[in-house]
Amino acid sequence: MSFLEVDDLTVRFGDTVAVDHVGFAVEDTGRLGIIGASGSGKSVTSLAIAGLLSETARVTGSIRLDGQELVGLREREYRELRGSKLSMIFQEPMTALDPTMRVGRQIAEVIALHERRSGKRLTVEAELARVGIRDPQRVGESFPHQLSGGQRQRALIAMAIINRPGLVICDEPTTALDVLVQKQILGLLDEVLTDRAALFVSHDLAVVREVCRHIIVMEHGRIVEQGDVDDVIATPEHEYTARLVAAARGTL
Amino acid sequence: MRGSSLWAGAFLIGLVALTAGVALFWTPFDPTANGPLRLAPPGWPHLLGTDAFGSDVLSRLMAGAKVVLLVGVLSVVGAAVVGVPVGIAAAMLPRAWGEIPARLSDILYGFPALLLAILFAAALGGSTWTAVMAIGIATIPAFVRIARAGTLEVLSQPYVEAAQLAGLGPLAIARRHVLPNIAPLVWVQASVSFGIAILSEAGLSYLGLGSGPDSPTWGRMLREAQDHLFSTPILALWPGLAVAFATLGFNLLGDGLRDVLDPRLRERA
Amino acid sequence: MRRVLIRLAWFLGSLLLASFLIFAATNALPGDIANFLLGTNARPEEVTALRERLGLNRPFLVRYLEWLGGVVVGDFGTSQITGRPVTEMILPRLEVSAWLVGLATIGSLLIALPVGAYAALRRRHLDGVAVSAVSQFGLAVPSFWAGIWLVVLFAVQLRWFPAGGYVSYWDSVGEWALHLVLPVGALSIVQASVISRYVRSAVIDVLHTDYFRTARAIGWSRIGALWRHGLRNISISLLTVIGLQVTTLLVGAIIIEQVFAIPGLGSRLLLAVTQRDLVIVQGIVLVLVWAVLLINFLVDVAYQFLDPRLKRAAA
Repeated sequence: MSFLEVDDLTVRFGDTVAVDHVGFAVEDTGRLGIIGASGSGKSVTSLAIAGLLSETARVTGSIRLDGQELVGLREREYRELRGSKLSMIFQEPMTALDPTMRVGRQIAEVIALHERRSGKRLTVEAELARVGIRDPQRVGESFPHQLSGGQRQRALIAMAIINRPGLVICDEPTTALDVLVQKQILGLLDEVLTDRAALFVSHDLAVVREVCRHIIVMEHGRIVEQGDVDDVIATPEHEYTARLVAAARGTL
Repeated sequence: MRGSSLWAGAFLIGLVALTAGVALFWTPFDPTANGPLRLAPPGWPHLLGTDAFGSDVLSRLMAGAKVVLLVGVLSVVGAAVVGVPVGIAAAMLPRAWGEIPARLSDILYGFPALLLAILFAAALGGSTWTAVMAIGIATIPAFVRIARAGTLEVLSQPYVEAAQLAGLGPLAIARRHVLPNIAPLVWVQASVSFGIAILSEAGLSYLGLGSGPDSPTWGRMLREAQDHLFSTPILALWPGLAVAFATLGFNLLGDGLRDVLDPRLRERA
Repeated sequence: MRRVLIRLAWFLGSLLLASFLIFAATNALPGDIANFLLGTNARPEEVTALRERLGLNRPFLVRYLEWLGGVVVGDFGTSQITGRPVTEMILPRLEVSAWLVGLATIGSLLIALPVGAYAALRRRHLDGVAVSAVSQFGLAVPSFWAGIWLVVLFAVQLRWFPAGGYVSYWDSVGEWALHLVLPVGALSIVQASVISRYVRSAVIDVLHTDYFRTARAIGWSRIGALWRHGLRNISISLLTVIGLQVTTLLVGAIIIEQVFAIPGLGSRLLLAVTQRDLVIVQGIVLVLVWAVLLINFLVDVAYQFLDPRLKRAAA
């Protein structure tokens, strides 16, 4: 049995079907890249796994995390999982952090929420150092707007892995960063995700290839192709994938 | 759902306007005449009962609608006629000059209509006209602000710059480009200001600073009703409801107009 | 710091301008106090003598500067009717009005924050829409009408609270509180409908932010994330709304004092208007307008320091 098993997952907003009978599995140290253009359903899929869709969404099918069924799970229990057993890293590091709160406090919150004790400053600094921040004390005492994009994204990664979750969902984690920083953050992610399961959602084939071997390609809420990333790039079977590959050719 | 607030607002305002229109020519009884039947409960022939002086409550309510609309129309139209050109000028003048009216209207914002009315009433004695003046002057800054902000936005549009380059004078630009574009904002503001004017008028006449004793106003009716809260509290119901529904009408109309006239301001559901 | 200094200069300038407008309105307009005091039958030489004694025949600007000079050192002049110093009359009443406005501000927030948040969280459900509709209606209700109904319900019918009057805090805290419940309640309810609508739209904005999603992703519930992260972000702009609403609240308080026979600035002001005691009128109006300007200035400055993104620029 895989660590994450998604079966027949369907998400509807009213009459619109955003995710249409999607299924995949990720081993406990496995990684899966989800590729697709915006509106393909890849982000909705990841939010559905985290249980963060708006209340207007109707989710059917099955999502099993470490054997536990998540579809229909009570919000109170779901809350316990988020931040401890599964966590997310989002696209915009500037807006993903509370602009009015010091970064260190936001990181300490993740510990406090799940251990029922306050996150110690030392722990926070050690975690910041773990994600490659050279000046953890200063960064911890800074507000988000005082940091660079790379530092903010590192802080968000620290928040995501601080409770050693079994599954980390990265939703376009490098899209908002410039190319050099993007490279560093991908290296960091590759390192911190080694001993856990990860979903890597992106529109960018080249980025996904840096960290994932196995990918699925989504279009209009359906999986249109899956397999080894190099095979898919070498011999795309679906014409949508072919277009994606062609568009990304310069960067591959 | 979207158009409903517009129609609900229009309906309520229509009701007030119709009442006022009818009251110009006819009311069931003379609204200022005292009768022998005092503090009568609602029934026939006094549909809403009579007050402490034996006057017919319905007739007084209808006459009150006249006063409210008169004060509202005069003060809001007056404020718009003064405020909108000032606001446009503040936006079109060079920065240093334009700041002055903008800042002045900020300061005037601190003068609520009631305090102005109190100043006027202290110097001139309270009347319908001091109420109109006070509410009107207190409403000007709202129009200055909205017109200035709207004009600044219009002026930043490329086609206006093109028109300027083509040699169109400032007055022509104001008339041809600015006015039509800020008109929706002004209508919305007028509707909102009208609601505030109704509330202000009610407050003023409640305090006895508005229209004289011979013209029945909703605020005055509330004042008089207050002396009989123990015996006939229902007297305090009608005029208050009238104020609330008339104000609600203009607030709803303002919301509705905002949705219809200016799609950019539409809030997400 | 420079930004704060510029604001301070504007603030002082607006204080000055406001004082001039108030003095001009009460002095330049017709309705001479000397005529009024002596009645219409007074002989012209009597009027002239009184004008001389009251100092009314000196140039307008001189009288204004004298008055302003007094105000700056806390001397608001002498009442033309009672002959007593105006400052002495204003101070105890200022305390009463300040309680009223201050407590109503707190009361309206205590109502508006949960109600607005509820209306936002439940905006797609019938109960949330109903809450919005009620606050829409509340916007249209004059606070004195709300006060009248609170009296009917809680003073006349239930007899829980007195229908009016005031007891000083320093005489009896219990009685003071009992007398303030209804007037503060009336002001708070009406004020809360304005603020709760603002809170509702601000909370809806927060629900769509990325940091709210992050907070949910680390394990906060929706309410928890709102409380911990939403409130901080809302409070900065909420402060501006409260500042702007102080004017409305002051006006409401003047009328509410009349409804509940509370001896505050408003009721003294209205008495002075009927007596044409212009020195008191201009004194109290000045205090009220300056209070509004002061609060808006403080809000403005606080805004600079509360928002960490602006702090660097202000310091």
